[in-house]
Amino acid sequence: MQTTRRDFFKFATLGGAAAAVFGFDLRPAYAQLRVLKIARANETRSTCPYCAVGCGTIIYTIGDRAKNVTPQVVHVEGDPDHPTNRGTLCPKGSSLAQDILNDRRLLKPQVRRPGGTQWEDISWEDALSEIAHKIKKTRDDSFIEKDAKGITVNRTEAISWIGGCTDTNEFNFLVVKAMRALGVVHLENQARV
Amino acid sequence: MTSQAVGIEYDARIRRAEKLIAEKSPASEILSFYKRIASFQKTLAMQIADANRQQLLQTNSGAEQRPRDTPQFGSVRDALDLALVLPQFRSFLSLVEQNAPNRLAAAARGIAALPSESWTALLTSYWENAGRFDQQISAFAQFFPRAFLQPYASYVAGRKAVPPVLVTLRVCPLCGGRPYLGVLRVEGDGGKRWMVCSFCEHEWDFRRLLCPTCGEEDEKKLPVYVAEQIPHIRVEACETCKFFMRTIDMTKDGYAVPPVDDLAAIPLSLWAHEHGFSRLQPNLLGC
Repeated sequence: MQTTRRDFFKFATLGGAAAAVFGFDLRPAYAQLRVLKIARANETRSTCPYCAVGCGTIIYTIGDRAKNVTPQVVHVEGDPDHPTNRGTLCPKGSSLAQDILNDRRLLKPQVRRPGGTQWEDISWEDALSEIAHKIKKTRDDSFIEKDAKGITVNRTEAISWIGGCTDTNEFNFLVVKAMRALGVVHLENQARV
Repeated sequence: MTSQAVGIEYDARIRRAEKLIAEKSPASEILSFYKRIASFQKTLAMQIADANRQQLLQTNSGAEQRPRDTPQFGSVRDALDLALVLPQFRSFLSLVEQNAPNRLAAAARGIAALPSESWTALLTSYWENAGRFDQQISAFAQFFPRAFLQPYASYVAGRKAVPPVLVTLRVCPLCGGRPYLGVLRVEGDGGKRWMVCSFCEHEWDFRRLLCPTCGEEDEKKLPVYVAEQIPHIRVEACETCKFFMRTIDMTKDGYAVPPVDDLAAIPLSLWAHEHGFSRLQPNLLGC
């Protein structure tokens, strides 16, 4: 065999061009390489936000990670490795890309005051602060320390919590801890993720 | 597996190679040569299937109650019967000598001049180590046994029972070989990823977002590169280990035949190399 040391290293390091070692003409391949339009995509696992089934999805984002380029979602498909849906999506889930790329999608918090007819913009900081104050006030106003039989219950029946389907198990664990500490008894989540 | 069924698989590869050549693929020269190799592999695979069928008939004639060709557990590598294939090695070398480019033809001439003990050593050592230590074998020393023994390895793998696997394997569950190619096949509305073994061509399922080389799971470090002109071929790279896996997306082109489309995608291998990525296992012709 006429295998030289040079041949060995060509194979070991070039990988894709080892065919040249055999004597194949790679000039047409190099010519096509110059005209190929190659785009970088990233695949990200996520969970469909619509219902309690919690189907797995893969989101395709195009972008070369340059600082002046905003990654663009181009496609959403079912995750074939997800045990719940094995690559399938319902018609609503299949339209997820339109949910992400939508001019009407809300990107900031808004509030509609009691008696008001319009939604007003509010900063995240103000929104969180206002929610905290309302929770505190509601709890203080409605707190029940003992029931009619005199048994200590330490609860509030004026606050309830319902979780979303994309909430993870860990997030729901923290929610239950926080809500039970407040005395919330009307508590439900969709702990499937 | 009958010889006709084996032949159909290779016919599909030959037809696909002809189609890509007709479409003026930049890998036309490679595909033309591959067509000849695939024709030889088809004949060899059919002979192996026929020989196995004869052997089974003889075995079953004495005991009617014995199971017929039941898949058995075990490694593909335990099953090499060189006496069955070695007589064909000279005609294979002759085929390469007549159709390959100069350097490969010269290597075929060199091997043909060796005594048959050297052929046995070449084929046996490849059979034992293929897909595991290929980086330590030269391009020439790898091509001949790989092209010649692949139909046999593939046939043996097709008759093996696949052991139940609870984890994602980075090597072939039947022979321990590393994958050289990925395939996305339709699963639901998406594409499930399968790895193709570089030795026995067995396909096993593999998670979509996982590097088959180093096990990286961080989605940000696993970019996929696709050329606008050939959207069904993906370069699935890993920025941690700097290796890439080429994957044929059958959900984009259902007519693709993965081993053939992989050969035709040599410009993407060149592109990946230019961008610092190496291929875990090269294909038959080192593209």
